[in-house]
Amino acid sequence: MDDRRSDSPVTAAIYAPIGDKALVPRIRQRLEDAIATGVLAPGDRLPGESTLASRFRVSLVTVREALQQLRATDLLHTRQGRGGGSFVAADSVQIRGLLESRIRALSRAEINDFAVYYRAITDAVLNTIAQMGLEQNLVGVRESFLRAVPQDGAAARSVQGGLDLRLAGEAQSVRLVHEQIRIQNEFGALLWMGLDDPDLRESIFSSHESMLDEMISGDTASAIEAREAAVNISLRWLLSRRNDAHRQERENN
Amino acid sequence: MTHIGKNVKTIDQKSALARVIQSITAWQNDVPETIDRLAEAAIEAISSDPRTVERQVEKVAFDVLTSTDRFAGAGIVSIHPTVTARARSLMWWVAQPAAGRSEPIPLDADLTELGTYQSGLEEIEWYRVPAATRQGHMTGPFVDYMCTDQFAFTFTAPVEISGELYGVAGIDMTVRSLENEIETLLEALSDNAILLANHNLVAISLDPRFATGSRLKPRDLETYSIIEVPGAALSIAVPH
Repeated sequence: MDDRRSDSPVTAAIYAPIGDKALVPRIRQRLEDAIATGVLAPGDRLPGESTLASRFRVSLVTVREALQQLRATDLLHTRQGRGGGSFVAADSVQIRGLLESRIRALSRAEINDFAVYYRAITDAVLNTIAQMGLEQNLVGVRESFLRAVPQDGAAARSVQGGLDLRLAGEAQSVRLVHEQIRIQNEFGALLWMGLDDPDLRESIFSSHESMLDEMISGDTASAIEAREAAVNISLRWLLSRRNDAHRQERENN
Repeated sequence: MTHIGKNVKTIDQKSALARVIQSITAWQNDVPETIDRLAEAAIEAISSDPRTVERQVEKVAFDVLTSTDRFAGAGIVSIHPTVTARARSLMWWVAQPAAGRSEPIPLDADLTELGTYQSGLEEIEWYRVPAATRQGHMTGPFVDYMCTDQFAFTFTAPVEISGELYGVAGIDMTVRSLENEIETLLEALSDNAILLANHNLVAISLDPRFATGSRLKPRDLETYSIIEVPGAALSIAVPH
């Protein structure tokens, strides 16, 4: 076996550390994002530690460490005994702060890269559905999407996530579905922050409706264009929020 | 069309075709009887003591899934208030051969991450069709994200008590379980033979242009002789 082969950049990537040490921050980030974006509301109770461990597929120690860090920053509090558990403690001021610091911490390039990744997967999903001749399966997806009338940003993000997952599912690809789940876990909540604004919500959702209509009528290119319009609306909002946060930081200094 | 296509005329092909049909028939032979057992357990529990429905169905589902490796999943799905007041909507169990577990595990839609995106069970084909037609139905092949993460067929039939629909009973069978038996037999028929489900959905295609789960367009379909498998929602397509 030629040793040089294991030194090439490609093979090096294969042997790169898996990074299980990063599990605690990742779990913490996931829960923080959920709190920041309102998916978990103040007063909500988290599942028990062992349930969390099995759902995240990590050890109990890892879960405890992540929860401990969230308690230390007053985002969670714990009540003992009957009816006890971990509760979301954050108030609205804290939540706003959390969100702003999360957005501020991202570079413009990072946000754009999220969008590139999201586009790559969602384009592939729409193209695959069309190639497989399964466009008519989207009639049901469209119906349930139109029936959902979310009243706030968190509800809208859950509809958004549901739509993306269902579309990935309709492409009949386990891998595309898993990529979509990964996207949602990593930055779905952030990418769709713009859904908090009722006007943006309306434009984004009407773009999604056109996307579904175009898919069903067999025009994949127009569907991708409509999806793109929705992403751009949210992206523009996110980038301008980031600018605001940075400007404020400069002014405060 | 149950006639044998004009391209299938040699004696070899005729016997190959007979073997494919025989193999499919054997593959799905136990399906109606198995679904009946699940439905009967549910009906009996609902009629006598609805609190026991989950336990009774579980008993049969365990027996079904452990006595043979033919079935990947089994259970009952109900949205009827009598049932959902006392049990979960999705009473479904999944065999775990790959994980080396002998005991089937209950399907928890919440834990599959995708459960939350299902807008309503009643809209899914394996519920919707038997609920509307009041007859057995084969759904698929589709990737069963809620269950096996594999291409699967789901066979379902209505659960009725005095004409009232209480849900559907059903079982899952993976496409892989059929592939193993059918592929070689299809090869003897034609290098590009396809096994189709529900008229135009590709189940197994020797022609790599067509992926499992995709739908054959009418203009493609026209280029094949279609032989329906008696008693199955499957047909064999051989190029003209």
